[in-house]
Amino acid sequence: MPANEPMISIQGVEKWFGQFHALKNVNLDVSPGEVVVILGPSGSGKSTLCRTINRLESTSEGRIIIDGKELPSESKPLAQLRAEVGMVFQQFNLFSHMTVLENVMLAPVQVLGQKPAEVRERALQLLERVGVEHQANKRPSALSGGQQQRVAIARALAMKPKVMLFDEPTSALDPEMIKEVLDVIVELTGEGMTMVVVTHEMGFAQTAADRIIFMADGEIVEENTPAEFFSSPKTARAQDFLSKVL
Amino acid sequence: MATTASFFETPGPIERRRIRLGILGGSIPIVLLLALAAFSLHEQGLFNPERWEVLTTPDLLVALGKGLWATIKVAIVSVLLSLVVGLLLALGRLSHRKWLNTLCRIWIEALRGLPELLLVFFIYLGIPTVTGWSINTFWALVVGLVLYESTAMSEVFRSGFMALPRGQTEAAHALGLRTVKTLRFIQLPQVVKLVLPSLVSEMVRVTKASSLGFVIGYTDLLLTGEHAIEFLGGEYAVPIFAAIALIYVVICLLLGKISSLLSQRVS
Repeated sequence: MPANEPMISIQGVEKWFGQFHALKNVNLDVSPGEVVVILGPSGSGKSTLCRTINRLESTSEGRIIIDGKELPSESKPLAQLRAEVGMVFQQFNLFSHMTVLENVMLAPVQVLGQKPAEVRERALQLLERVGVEHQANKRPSALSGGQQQRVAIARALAMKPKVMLFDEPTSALDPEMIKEVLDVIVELTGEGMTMVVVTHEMGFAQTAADRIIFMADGEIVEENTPAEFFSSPKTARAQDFLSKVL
Repeated sequence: MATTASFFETPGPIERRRIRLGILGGSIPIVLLLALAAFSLHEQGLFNPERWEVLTTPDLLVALGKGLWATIKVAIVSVLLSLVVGLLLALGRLSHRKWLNTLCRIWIEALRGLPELLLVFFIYLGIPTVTGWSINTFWALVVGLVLYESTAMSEVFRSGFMALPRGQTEAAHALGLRTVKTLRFIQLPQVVKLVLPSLVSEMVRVTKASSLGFVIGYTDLLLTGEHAIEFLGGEYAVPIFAAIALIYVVICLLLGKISSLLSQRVS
């Protein structure tokens, strides 16, 4: 793969929910190892865009290409592709009937067909890395929100994904837990992981992002470097947004 | 764990006195009625021990035992088939394929509206007439019961699937799990746990409904009792039917007990 080929390429994507035009001609390339943070007011389509990247949301028009392969619409190749794209949700979505360790082990064993003993070892290492190794045999409901979200990150990482998608990973957390989750995400940026992060955490966007995408009303309104975006946004809508959140 | 919801406020002293009075006043006519009933039964010789000694007759016990086994056989086969068919129907109803969804809905709506008795009759008498195949009473009863019960169970399963947070399925899909593995590892374990109490009451219903075998001559517990009464005489009807009623109650209590043990193990 040539170094300049994008890891994620979103080309002319349109999305309609009935009469509602949720995504309007969205074009975005993400390079390997790049961290793209998507900002914007609620209802701007940023979560929808994030969810189209692994086709949890289908698109009405346009193409999405991940690592040179177009996003398939048939279930088998789609599942194979999703196995290479990690996703972290706002509501954690840990499997509530399984222990923390089982949550992390399920997909490597069932999807990739890896040996349970090996997966177990790697899963425990991942849990240690995100600081929840002592909770491995508990049910998710026994953990705090911050711990659950860190388990969810470990679960996604266990698949050794090429890309990580974060859909408002800290929006459902109590304020004191936001930092522990962001710290884990920031650590990943240092390892060259390609990431798309939808968030309302401006501090995180400023320090961790390589590039800021600002969306409003289903469109990408502004693309900028974090330094430029937060000090001198080019568009009036971004200025308006920043005046409200900062 | 679940706590019992409190529907009533804690009563104050005046209300407590009123409740005590109500209980006292209400129980007097009930006690009187029971006494009257007992007296009239006594007049007819129902409490004569000889009447009840019939229940110790070995022949009768063997016959009732066979009848009980016949009932249990029908109940087990019907419950298992209803669970499988019910789950498949529920999945059909939840399918995105419109034709499948519609087909299952029509099937469920149509069968749910028919009395089980009619279905059992229909299968037993209709299938030989229409197709020329013979069908024995066991399978006629099972098919009739399953046709009805599977639709009831499919609605139970469906409500369970709909109550499952969508994020559980999305997370499984995002990890690369496909439909069947998502169903097996993520959805079913949670759905079954959620709907177990309703499933058990449906199982109890199937067990009781198996007594409909009576009308097509399937020699189950109830029909065995009926035959015994014909043979021994009408004065033994009350003891024998009482014994049969007790057996049905015990079977259903056992089902409930087994399921609560099961749900404890699951959680």
